[in-house]
Amino acid sequence: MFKEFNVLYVEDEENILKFTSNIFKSLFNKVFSQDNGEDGLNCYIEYQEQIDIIITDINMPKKNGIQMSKEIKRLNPLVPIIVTSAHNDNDFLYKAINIGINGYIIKPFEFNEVLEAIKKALEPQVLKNQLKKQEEENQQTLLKSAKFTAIGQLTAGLTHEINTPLTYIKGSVEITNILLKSMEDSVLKERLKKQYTMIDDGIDRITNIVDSMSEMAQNSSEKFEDVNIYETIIVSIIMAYNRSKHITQIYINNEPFQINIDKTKYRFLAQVQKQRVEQVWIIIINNALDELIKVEKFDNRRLDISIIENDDEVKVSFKDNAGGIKDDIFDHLFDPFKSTKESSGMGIGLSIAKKIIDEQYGNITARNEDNGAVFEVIFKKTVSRLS
Amino acid sequence: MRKIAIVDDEKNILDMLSTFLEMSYDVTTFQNPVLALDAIKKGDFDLVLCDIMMPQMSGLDLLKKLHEDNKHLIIIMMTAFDTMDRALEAHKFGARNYIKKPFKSLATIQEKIEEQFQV
Repeated sequence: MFKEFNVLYVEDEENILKFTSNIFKSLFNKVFSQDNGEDGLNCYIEYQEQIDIIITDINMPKKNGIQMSKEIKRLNPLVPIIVTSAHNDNDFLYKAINIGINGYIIKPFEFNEVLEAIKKALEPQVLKNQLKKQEEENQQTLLKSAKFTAIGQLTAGLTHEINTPLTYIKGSVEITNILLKSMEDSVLKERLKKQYTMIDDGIDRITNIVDSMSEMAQNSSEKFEDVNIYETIIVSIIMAYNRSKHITQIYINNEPFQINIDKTKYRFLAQVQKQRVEQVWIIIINNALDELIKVEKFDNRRLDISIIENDDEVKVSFKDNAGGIKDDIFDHLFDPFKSTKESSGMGIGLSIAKKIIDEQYGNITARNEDNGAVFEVIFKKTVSRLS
Repeated sequence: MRKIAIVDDEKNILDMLSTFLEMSYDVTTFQNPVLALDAIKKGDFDLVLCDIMMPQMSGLDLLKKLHEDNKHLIIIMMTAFDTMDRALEAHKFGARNYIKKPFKSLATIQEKIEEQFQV
């Protein structure tokens, strides 16, 4: 009950001292018991740092409870003191009030009254402890976030610096392989091929690490606001239009997309970071285009975007007809560390997309349907207001 | 043979890319975007590969100026991860596509280039 506190209990009657101390032991972290005021005072002086509350009888040999309390209050006016008294101690009680006693309990004890009195006396202490704890936590959080910011900045700088040499090393190794292939068969060629495989594998792994490191270092300070999700989709399709117009017709809620479409024709509100969400749409659209281009003929390709809402969610889905996501990459689609080398277009930036959607408290999933891939994003809907 | 211009402030990247792309295209490289702007305007390039982060002039500025000058010029942006936002924004200024650095493979660059030539 008061397990974070220690009590000093002073009582001259042996039986009461034993009995009540035992009860206190189950309530408090630690109980210091003394049987007279003088020893009580000395005990307090010695263990001042540990004692949080004093409960004392009044009528005691050597030094009575009032005298002891007075001296303790002089040492530390803030320590709560509760006196226990029999009815005939009325005189002492008045004195007790005068020296700033925090509570009293009439003997014989009523357990609930004891609890109530202790609780009341410790209240400021509890609040203080809570405040202190809160303050410490805040400080820790602050320190942590400062550390993370510093690490984030360092990581961002570092990955950028690594990226450039990585780009030309990676490219040069690939060219080396092309040259290697044109070499006449020989023992040397076989040995070089083996070395090439190792270098290529190593570079792949470094690339993945650098990718995910820079992903994590990226942090958007864009503010969250009520955003019309429909509008973000239209803006993104317009952005990708230079490319998409040559590849496929895009449909939005079954209407063919046209460049002069009304961006505000529909309203689907969610609390998100607008530009971040647009980034996700562009990633998904570009991935779909990467796959669709492999399908022969413009007329055979189709990208359907739908946006619907129910009572508490806005759901956006992108459905293409380019054959769907292959089994071997399906499980690692949103995994930043997994190489998507085998999978050409599919998967570029999907781990970023997932990170962004997570940041919007949304959810992104993928599935195959009717010979195509479906990417579905769900946001919590903004509670609609009268407009 | 199609004419391609590559603009990047990192010489090693230019060398690497031109070594590869010269197998299929007529390639000119520019390490300085300011000089590139002039030369590309005067030249008869079919396609430009353009880095985003360059000291003398940002790739986005170069893109805007080139697109203003010739709407038919195909421009593909190259970008490191941390400039991805800008690569996406580049669509607004007329870029046809973007390629992430480090390149997934040189073959994918060629795929993206060919995609533009096919349409």
